Amino acid sequence: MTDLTAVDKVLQTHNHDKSMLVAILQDAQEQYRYLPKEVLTQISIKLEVPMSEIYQVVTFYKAFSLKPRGKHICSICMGTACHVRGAPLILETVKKHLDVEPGQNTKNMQFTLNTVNCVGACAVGPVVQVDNTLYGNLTSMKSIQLLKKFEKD
Amino acid sequence: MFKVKIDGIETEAAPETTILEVANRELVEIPTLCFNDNVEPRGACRICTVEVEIWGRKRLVTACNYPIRGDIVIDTKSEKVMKLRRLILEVLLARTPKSERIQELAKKYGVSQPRFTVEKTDDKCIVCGLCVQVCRDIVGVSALSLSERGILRKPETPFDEASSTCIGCGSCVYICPTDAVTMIDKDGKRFFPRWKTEFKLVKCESCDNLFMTDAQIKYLKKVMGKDDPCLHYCPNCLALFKK
Ligand code: SF4
Ligand code: SF4
Ligand code: FES
Ligand code: FES
Repeated sequence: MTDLTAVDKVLQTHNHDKSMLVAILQDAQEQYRYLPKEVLTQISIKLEVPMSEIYQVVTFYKAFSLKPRGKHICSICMGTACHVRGAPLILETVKKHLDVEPGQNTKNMQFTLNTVNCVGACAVGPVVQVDNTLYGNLTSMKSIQLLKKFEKD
Repeated sequence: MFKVKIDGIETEAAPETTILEVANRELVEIPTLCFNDNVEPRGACRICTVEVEIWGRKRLVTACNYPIRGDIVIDTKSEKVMKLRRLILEVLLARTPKSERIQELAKKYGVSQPRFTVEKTDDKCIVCGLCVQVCRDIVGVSALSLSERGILRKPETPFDEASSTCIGCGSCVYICPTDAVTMIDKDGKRFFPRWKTEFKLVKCESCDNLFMTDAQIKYLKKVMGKDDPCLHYCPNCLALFKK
């Protein structure tokens, strides 16, 4: 069973306001690292919003995940600018290093690997985003060093 | 009243009348897919597109949800309209080659082999959203929504699992323009393959015919706030009783 105290608290902070659905989902995901079904059910009941509507919102935005995710989200930019500056090599190296395919979690649940198409920082490409921070001018070596920093915490 | 000219026919229309309403009245044929009188028109399929002229400027609009707010000249078969309609049908035919309704329309507008191809082609759904609308706005249980986006967008129950709020009324089956939603009544049960949901059918207490799902009776009792003969007897028997 998922502990629902955290989502109840999130709902409280937003005064159970239906119009804050997206913000509530974001905060809930922050707490649980993804959006478990029980959490969505709780939100649906407490806000009196049909589950179908919540499901529509959650599946619409790429930022929401219905599947468990690792502690750190590592998104490799595959946009055009990053692509020509060597993003494919970085992706290959990171894939090997973490032993996962994009969209998967590492066995120890430390990382989730994703690919994204342009994060809007083309000038400093190739870019990798870890959690909420962007790291630019990367090489495959530098990207491994970067990930190592997140391996322990 | 505004002056309206539709395919050469001169007539009048009250403010907020839609182009489609005027066309139906004047017996001008405009094809529709996602339009249904019972729900708010969303303009999802674009097949009803026509060309209008307002204050000397021409533009393409969807007839089903375009409210007339001034004098207007409408052309439902201009070259631009036909070109667009064919393109829309080409896309729809590529996505739903098994749909009889789309096949029919495509044939009518001279579309045969679409230039586009998609992998999954068994589905007849054109993602018009009518099933979602009827379930939410008429039935009132909101069992469905359009999930995902782009080419993955589709009508679905939450988590694509058996729905806990669907009552098995069949309104979605009835309203779907392309027969993409089906229900199978068999062995005292009603099954919706698309919604992965099954119900027990209940017998009419007079003629023994199966006439409603158990969930429907439960839901109707709740919204009516009381028990009612229509929850025990089928419409046929009820009509006989009245006589
Ligand atoms: S059968 Fe279920 S999904 Fe379809 S309209 Fe009725 S309640 Fe909604
Ligand atoms: S199932 Fe039918 S009604 Fe529902 S979106 Fe698809 S085509 Fe439209
Ligand atoms: S292409 Fe990578 S940031 Fe724009
Ligand atoms: S019928 Fe008008 S947009 Fe579908």
